[in-house]
Amino acid sequence: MANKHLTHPNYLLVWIVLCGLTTLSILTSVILNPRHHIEFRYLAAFILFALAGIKAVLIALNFMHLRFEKILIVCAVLVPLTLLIIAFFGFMPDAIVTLKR
Amino acid sequence: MHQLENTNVGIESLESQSAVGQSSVGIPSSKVGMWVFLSGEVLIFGGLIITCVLFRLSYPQWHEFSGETNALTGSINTFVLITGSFTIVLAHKMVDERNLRSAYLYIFLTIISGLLFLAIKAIEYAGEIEHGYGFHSGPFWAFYYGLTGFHAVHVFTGTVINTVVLILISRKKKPGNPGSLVENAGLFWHFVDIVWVFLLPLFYLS
Amino acid sequence: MESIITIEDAHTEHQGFIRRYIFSTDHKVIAIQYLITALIWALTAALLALFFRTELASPGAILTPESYNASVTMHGAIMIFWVAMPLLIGAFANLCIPLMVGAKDMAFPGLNMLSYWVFFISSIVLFSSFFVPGGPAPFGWTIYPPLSADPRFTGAKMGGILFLFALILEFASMLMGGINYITTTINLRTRGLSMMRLPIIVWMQFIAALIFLLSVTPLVAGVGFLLLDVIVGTSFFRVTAQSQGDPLLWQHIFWFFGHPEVYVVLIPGLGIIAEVFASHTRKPIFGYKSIVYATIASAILSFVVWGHHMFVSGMNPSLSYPFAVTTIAISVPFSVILVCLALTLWNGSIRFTSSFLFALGSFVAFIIGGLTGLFLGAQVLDVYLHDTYFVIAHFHYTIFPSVILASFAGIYYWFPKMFGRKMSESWGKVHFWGTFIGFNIFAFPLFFLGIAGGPRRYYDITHIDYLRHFQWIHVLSTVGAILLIASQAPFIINFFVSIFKGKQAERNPWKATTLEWLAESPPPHHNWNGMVPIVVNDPYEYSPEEEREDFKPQGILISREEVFREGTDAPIGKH
Repeated sequence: MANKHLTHPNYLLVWIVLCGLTTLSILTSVILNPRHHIEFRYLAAFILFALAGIKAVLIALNFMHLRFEKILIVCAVLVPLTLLIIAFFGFMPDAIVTLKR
Repeated sequence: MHQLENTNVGIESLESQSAVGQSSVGIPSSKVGMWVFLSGEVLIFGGLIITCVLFRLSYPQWHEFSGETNALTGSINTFVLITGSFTIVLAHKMVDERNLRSAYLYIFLTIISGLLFLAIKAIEYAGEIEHGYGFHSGPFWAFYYGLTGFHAVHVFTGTVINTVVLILISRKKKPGNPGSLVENAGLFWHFVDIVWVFLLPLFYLS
Repeated sequence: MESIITIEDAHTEHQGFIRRYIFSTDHKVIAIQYLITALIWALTAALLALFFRTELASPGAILTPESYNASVTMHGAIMIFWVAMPLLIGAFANLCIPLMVGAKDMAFPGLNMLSYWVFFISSIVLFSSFFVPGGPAPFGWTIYPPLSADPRFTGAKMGGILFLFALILEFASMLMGGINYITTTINLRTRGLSMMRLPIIVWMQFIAALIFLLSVTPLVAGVGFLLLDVIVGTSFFRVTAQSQGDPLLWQHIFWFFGHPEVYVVLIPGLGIIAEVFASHTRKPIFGYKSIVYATIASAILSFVVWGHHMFVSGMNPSLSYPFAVTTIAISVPFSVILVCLALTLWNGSIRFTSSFLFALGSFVAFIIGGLTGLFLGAQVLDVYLHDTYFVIAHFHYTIFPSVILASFAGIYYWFPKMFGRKMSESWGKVHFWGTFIGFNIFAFPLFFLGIAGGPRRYYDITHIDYLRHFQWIHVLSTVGAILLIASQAPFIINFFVSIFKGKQAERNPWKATTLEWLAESPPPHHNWNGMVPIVVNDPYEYSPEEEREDFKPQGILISREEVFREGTDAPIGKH
């Protein structure tokens, strides 16, 4: 029953895009290597994590079929992510202040 | 009655636990359980990752260390895992299309990808240890070994799960719709993949 | 499909003793296993409490400072993780959820069995830590590093390691249970049972399992990394001259779990109180929806209040204000729940059974605990009261009612369903009054010791000038604790005698409405004897106007053929 209304998207396309994005992030780390370009440190980190985020979303939506699932199952992902954001900003003031000596 | 036949009566005949023999929300129980488990897993790895990020923000000199990790093996492993994810989702598709032979092949390829990942990981660890970086070489290396090691344990678990699923669905006497089994094994495998996607920039690239 | 069901029902009837009572997948047997394990642990922890309370009343009498530390730690940890969790989450969720949603068993019976046995192994690991060199873990139940992260400080390396291992196993066990409770509540509800028709306790157990799942998982990782600190010698939390470890991070991770955990053990207790109140006042629960929404609100808020445990920890001061605000805000939904419960009592025709007495006692004592929590939630007062006996008294006034008293209410209430026999009412009342009076004599004076500035965890306060005059509070409190523990004797005897010799109980001894009372007492494997419960009413239809009896059961039992004749296209209820 559950599999009946589960359409399978074009997985090959998703896989190609994922490989492309991975190549892109490797290129980024080679070009903006923090050892040589310390000033681009945060830019490189931002680009790398943005690419990772896009990849994760692609995998979740297509491979894990979140695009086609009921809202209940989408909540199983969104709720813990929300809590992680809360935890991050709850821990952050301490980590930055007490550790930077 | 027709609805009951369509329901995934999986190997544990899960749905029949409900007294009227159906799911209240129209999702098989095994899948609900899997997602509940995964939402816990998201917090386990997420908690570790945000902690690592916080340490990293506090210690800008950490990028010196992440230059020491083996970006080559890390990148190759990314491709290995993405391909494994791709093959297991194809296996799920093949099961849905009743093409079981191709499904066996794809699950087998996924198992190979897991083993390949672990082999490359072992080479990588051996290299790091040879360079003199161990658990004691400071918090970056402790995080590196802790997080990638924990992830490798998950890859190993996923490989075992995939092997068990392959054995179960290739048995002659089929207990029910194998789609549910392959789908849930796949969900775990994709999750492991997603975690690696974030570990790559955290420890290897930036 | 028809044939599958009959085969399955047939081959589960004839099981050997071991399959049936030891390695059972039956949720009721697992509930009883959890119950008895938890009661044994409760007795152990109570004896530890007896030791260190006697020690506090007459310093130096029976414990050395080291064993004092260890027994305080073990008392706290056992009571929270090996008593409260298995009692409320293990026993009552296992017993209530499948019966009350009209399912034949949990969604994953095998996982359920695994959950108990992992818990059992964790119990053995913890118990073995009492007998290793160095003794059991002495660093406080909150496991704060650097004390916990470096065995050099405590000398209890093996005890600490075993304790942390046991903790991980216990969390894993409760997570497996939680996955079952959540899936069962979401997916195995019988026809007609929409979410808004669930009995309050199922809602409470469901929400508690969700909170636990979402809060404990970061701590599982944290405990794992703390173990690395202890065993391997990394420095995630450990502070050494050259290391960059962060002990405060542990406090954050711990309380990110710790505060929701308090609600994990509180909310199911409130659920038991609600069930007992409704059936013993012969009134519908006042404000069913308000209670449900308030519980959801408090569950959400519980994730943003953890900082109030850390006001004096050296946490960034800019964090203390938001945490104080959310902490005060969380008292609003709890006030709603408590007012609804109080109004359920209003004008009811109350039956004072032991079960009801325990529920009422729990309710009353919890109000004291809730109100004193407000003092600790405001950071200005907390800076003064933190780490004093005020905190101890407040904590015992919240956890003792919601865990111990509510569990007793639940045990007396569901005992007929678990064992098919009733417990003795008169001994139950002796048990209640001894427990309730003993508890209040034990806990209430500690508020004053705390306000006087008496710090917690001190081995001996008679050496401190400003506290010397308050030693009598410790003596009084110890007398209360002895009365409290002595009063458990009638319960233990009553419990075991009633299992074998109690009065036979009928299906519905309390004339209650919810689904579990439709089943036999005790229910057979798969609960419904081949019948199917169908829900036709709201859960608490007591004293309806038109009926002859003073209650309308929530559902009816119909035969399997009738279900299929009606057609499976009928709506399963509103979602």
